[in-house]
Amino acid sequence: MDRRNFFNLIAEQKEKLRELKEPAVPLEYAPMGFEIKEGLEPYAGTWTEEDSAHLLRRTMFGYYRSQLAEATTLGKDASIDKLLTKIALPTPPLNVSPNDTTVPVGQTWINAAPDGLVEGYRINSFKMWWAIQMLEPKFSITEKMTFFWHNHFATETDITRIGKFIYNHNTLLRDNALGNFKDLVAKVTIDANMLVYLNGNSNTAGAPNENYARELLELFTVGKGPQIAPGNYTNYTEDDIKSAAKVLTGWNLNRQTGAVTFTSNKHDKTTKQFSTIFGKKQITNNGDKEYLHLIDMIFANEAASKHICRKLYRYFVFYNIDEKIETEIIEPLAKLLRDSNFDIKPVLKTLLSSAHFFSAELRGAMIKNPLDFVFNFIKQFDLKIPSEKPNQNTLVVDTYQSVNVIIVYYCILLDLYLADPPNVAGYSAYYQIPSFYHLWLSSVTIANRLKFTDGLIAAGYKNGSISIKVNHLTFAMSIPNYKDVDLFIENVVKLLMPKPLTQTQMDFLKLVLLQGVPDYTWGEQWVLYEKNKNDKTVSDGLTNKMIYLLTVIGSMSEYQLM
Amino acid sequence: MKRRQFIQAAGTVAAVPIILNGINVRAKASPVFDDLAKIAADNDRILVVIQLQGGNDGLNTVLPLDQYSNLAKARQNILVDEKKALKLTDSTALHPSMTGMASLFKEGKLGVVQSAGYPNQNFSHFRSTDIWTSASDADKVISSGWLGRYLDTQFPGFPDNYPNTTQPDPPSITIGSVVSSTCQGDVYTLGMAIADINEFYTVRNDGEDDLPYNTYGEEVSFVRSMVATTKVYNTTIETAAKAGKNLSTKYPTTNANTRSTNNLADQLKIVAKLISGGLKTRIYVVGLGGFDTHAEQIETQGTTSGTHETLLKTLSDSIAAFQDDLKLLGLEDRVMGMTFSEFGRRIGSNSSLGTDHGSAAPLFVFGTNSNPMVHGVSPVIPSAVTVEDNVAMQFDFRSIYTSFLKDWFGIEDAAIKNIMIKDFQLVPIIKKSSNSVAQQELMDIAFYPNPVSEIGFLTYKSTGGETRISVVDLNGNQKLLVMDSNLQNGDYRLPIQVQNLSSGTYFLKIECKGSTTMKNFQVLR
Repeated sequence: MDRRNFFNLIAEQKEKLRELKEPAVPLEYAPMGFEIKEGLEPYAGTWTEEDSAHLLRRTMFGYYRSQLAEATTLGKDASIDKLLTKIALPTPPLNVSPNDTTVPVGQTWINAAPDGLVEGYRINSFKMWWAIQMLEPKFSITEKMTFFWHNHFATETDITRIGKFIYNHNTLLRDNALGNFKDLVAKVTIDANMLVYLNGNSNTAGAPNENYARELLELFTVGKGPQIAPGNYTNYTEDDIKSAAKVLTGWNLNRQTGAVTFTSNKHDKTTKQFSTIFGKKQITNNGDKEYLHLIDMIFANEAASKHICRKLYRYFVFYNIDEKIETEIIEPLAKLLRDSNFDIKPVLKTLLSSAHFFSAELRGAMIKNPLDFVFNFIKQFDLKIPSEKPNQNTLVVDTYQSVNVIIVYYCILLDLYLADPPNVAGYSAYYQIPSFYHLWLSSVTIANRLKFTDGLIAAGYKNGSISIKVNHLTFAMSIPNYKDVDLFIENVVKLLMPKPLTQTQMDFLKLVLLQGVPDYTWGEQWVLYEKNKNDKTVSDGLTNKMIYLLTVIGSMSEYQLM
Repeated sequence: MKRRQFIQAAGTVAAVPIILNGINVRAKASPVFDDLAKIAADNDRILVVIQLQGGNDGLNTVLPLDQYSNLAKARQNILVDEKKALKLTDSTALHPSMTGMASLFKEGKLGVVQSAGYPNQNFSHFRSTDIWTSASDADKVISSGWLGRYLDTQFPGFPDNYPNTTQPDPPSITIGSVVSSTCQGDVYTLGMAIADINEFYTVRNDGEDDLPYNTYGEEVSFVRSMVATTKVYNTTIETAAKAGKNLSTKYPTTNANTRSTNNLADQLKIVAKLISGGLKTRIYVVGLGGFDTHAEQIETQGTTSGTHETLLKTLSDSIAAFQDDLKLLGLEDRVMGMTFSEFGRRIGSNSSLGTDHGSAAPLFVFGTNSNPMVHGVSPVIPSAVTVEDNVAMQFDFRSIYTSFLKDWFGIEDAAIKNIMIKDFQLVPIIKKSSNSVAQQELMDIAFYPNPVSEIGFLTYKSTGGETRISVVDLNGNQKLLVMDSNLQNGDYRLPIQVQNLSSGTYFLKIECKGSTTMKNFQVLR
């Protein structure tokens, strides 16, 4: 099927859907609607390396080949169990800027009092530290889940501006990443960082601030449904927001210590009335426990379990949720979540073990987000950060600063500001109909992705004592059967791409690599190289061929997918 | 895949960005361009859309001088001093920081549309933004943007066979990392995103190999199309960027918005430069964020300074500088602009020195071809404002879009209906001289008694034409249709029965070709 026909079909579908009323069930807009036959029943295929690769690609920020080998050996269930096992929290972020004189370089700032003059350095340190956590070779879904929760309970460092609160909030998410969703909502509601971000700390009786109450309902729990009447969004009403805001009054925050307290005389003590959606419930004055009653009430609404399951689905599987997927995947997962009293693990286990997750139709269909893009590259090429002769005395600082350039700053160029989503709804690729993941790619970000692969493969990055380079020959020799040009190309593609390429594409890559000379010369060059590693004509020749092949592969559209 | 394509690619392996040493062609010096300009004057018209993200507090932007005492009661902790406001008319003034735009109004280059909104206000940022960008009804979901649908008519079959000699440039340009959803077409995104015009990286084309007919194939196809579009348009944009210039010295340099890689002034500078460099793109979208002022929109009570003031100053200074630049570049007559935000904010303030989400709010139309007036009346502020009270809609925002399509771009009615889906009354936001349509005028409008309990009388003089008179409530819902017909020239006296209306405030909405007048009145039982 050629591209024109594809899009003719899409155009037809979209024409039909143009005049559709907002559906009664909160379905999302479907692009082509290819049918996925598989459901939540466990995947029963023979476990292959391709299956492991798919599992790890989706549940981790890139993976090392040793981890791939481990997952292939463990098999499906043991791999998933290991991914879902809680791991110890990491050591805290360190000061790496001499401009922050409140804390010695190389020590943590998380216990120091907030200080407007140095928060900028601390927040940078936090972002670099977070990137390092994602870089670490942990066989775990924890970092993917921490980012998921960050996207869900979105906050922005630009707005809260206190490193300590930001770090503590991130730790809360990481610590509860595989825990209980309802508990997490309760904890986030009175978390210092969130209280600042959504003004919970200045929400008082008499003139309540609706900011958190609105987002609690619209984004964090039940989610917004179609507008079925003025001020009625199916899963809550504007009046519910106003009542919820009153329930949440009275909380405040000591910005110096981070202590969160409840002040009774700032709390609205009236009885709060909720709509028929919540069974016309009334919440009476219950001081500092009242917000828990609100959360109980909200979670009694099935919409809360469905909303989060849809988000998990979009994050791990694909953005299209049509009627069939809503009925056969989302609703059962939501029920499982409710039956598990809102523990997340059973839902993840069922989803990740399912035939649906391993469906051939969906593999490779997810556009990498900037973090996926950068980390997959780094781990595929075994890139050491920093790479060459790291100075042991400045290793910590150099590592943080390398990560800052290659990961934190580069993701900004790819339109992902780590810890700074555009707004409280999170990163738009995870919710914006109809484009979803397509939003990661624009003329600007596509060019920057290309610059990244071209730049790191061809030239590397160097700044002072920091050097980050791909070692082309080491990489080549790490590929199985590297001396056989066909097997070499096949295995490189297997490593870098989510699905096999066509024969035409493979033939072309061979042309790129050999430039028309006979196949056997490839193996010959390697033999020569092994005989004398110092012969620059041989090593440079091989290096240049590797650079050309790898930059071409990096520039193929398939490389943007996972 | 042809080998030749990749040999071309081979040259770009180095990490150094490739910048063309462009010949400094000044588009205006070209006689061909001049001829085209004479022939196709209408086709050169440009619209610049400024999106204010977060929900701009309209009541703190366009201050209703004739409602001040009630407003002061509702917003005692954040309202600016009446005496400091910059007067536009007897009943309206701009926030004191908006000196640039106040000057533009005096120069006849700024129009204000009061209380622009839509029926059945949705108070969610995301849904309301979708409504404004897609121009849908509040209860419908449309995934294309209104400008995307307009551009679909101008670029049929996009992207196949584009660029070409008659349309060499991108359909639209968004300054930022991602194309604005206003420019999302039915299938494709009709535009390019640009973040920086100083550096253009050469993007390499992919193969045209057949793709599997499945989800994966569809996604690969999307990526390929993105690459192809980027590649073809980079050259033409780069050429325009090199040929263009900025002549104004008034662009502000402080940045009120920490989010975007360019602040608003920088974004508008790029737009002016590209237009002056001869780029034929006619839609530009820029943005300014930070308007979601739930808290601390002013720093301390009794002052004006704070978040909102900084944003308004940035907006005003940037628009004024952009307009100045266009004048110096000789481009003023070709460009019009508008601002929009997903909603206004609540009439009453909250205890955090801020305001929560609201409904209708004023929007601005700027350019030498704007009708320099305030359309509509000041929003009605009740004397005892509750947390429920919101500004009533006077103009459906889709009327503004319709007016741009018809009166600025000269689109035919049938095509407009397709783009805007429904019919919307025109609002005379464009100066009369650029219209060929004769305007109907309604004068000496009076309604009595006011307050009214049973029957009221509307009197007016008309020059004749299609006229529609209705009564709408504070939510913009039509309660009565009084008349909808073709009037003769003459004096009129219309009885309006209000027995079925409950007590409260209403608007008489009088719509005729080219204008909409609102008159508020009270029903009292």
